[in-house]
Amino acid sequence: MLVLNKINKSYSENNVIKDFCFNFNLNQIYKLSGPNGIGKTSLLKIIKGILIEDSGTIKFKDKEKYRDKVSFVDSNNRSFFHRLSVKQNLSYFIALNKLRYEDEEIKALARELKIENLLDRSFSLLSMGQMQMISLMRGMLEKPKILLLDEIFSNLDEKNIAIICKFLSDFIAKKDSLIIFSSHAKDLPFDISEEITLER
Amino acid sequence: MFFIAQIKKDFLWDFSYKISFFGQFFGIILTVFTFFFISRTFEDSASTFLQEYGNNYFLFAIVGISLADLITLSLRSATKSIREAQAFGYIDSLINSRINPAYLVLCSMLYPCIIGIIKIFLYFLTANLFYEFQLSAFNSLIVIILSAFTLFSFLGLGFIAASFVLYFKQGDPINFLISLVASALSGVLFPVSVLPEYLRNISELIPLTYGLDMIRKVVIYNSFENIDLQDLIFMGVFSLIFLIGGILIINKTIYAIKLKGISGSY
Repeated sequence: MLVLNKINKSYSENNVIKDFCFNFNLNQIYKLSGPNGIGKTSLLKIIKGILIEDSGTIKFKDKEKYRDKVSFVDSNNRSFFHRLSVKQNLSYFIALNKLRYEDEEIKALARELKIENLLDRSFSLLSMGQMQMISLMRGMLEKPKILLLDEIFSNLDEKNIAIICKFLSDFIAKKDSLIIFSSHAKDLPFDISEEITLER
Repeated sequence: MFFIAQIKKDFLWDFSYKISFFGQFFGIILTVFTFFFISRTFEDSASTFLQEYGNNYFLFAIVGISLADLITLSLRSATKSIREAQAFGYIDSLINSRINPAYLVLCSMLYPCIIGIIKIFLYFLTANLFYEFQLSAFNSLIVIILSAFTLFSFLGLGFIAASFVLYFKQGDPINFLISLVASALSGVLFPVSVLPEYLRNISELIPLTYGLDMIRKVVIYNSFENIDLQDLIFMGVFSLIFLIGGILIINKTIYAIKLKGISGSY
């Protein structure tokens, strides 16, 4: 279980997250919703450790050191080396996270996401939607127990949304893990355990 | 092995800009050509300041330029790679990875360091076309080790410069100051003995002064007998102090930018 207790975060005078408490259970998918600027991305970034909370505690399975079990995937397609190929990019990020993969394992994951044909392409030649799929793949290569997805459906067509939703449903069914995602998209084709609406 | 992945990535990135990649080596010919004829101009007027370097201004200057090139190239690469990561948007992936940030900055300096050492040898090779001199394989290895050791003494300052860019984004005053002080006071193009005493005292605090002196004597006399152990110890102590300070500062900076939420801003 991932337990967030009395999380507070403010930027200058602006108190974005105030006393947020929630228990996230394993094998569940949670949706964060709420208007722009309400703190959805900040909350996800705090869970990953990209941002540090002003106060409060976060524990995963009763441990405070859990961040290497978290993957954060967002819709920022600039977070790759555009002049390198997809495979070269992934190899670098695999090394950055001290992981090891055989070529066949990478291909197998790409096959599941139906992007095997993109591996040898230059990243700069991909469409926004394809970049988003590669971004998710990079996150999955980190072997996460907690998968955080920030607005990843925004650049995707219906076909790719369906592929991702099926992939995420399979992931949750097979692994002892949880997914928290933020999105403005409605009627996504997978089972959401709970929707958490952030309010002022 | 992350450092291999970093070198490979940096090479692929650098090589993808073909003109810039090959262009960086062509400048060497022009520099060597220029300094050969400058040294020829003053060949007959032997300077007492150059006596300990065998009155060989040509090799004196080539060693100075090539080593200064290595230091500035490697130090600037650390801040340049952070700046690129901020601008392109992958800085969060880097500083939140499982690799220690100081190690990451260190690794980002490896590829430019390799290029810098290749350039040193290209400088020597080109210089040999203008002025024949001998440098044994063993002494070449000594030159590489001394160059790397000199660079190592600037590593901590590289971390401090990287921390500055992580927090303040634009501007790189640390590297600017290092380049300025090192090129003016450590004897890159002229011997430090030429300087007035008060400036000589400052130059004695800069590790590049000792690195240049030792490498010059190895290259000019094709011998490592002039290497001073005391100088090496000074460089080692200097490296250690700044390295510890640099690691502390970079870790504090990363904590501060995560707290303020400004890691991704540029």
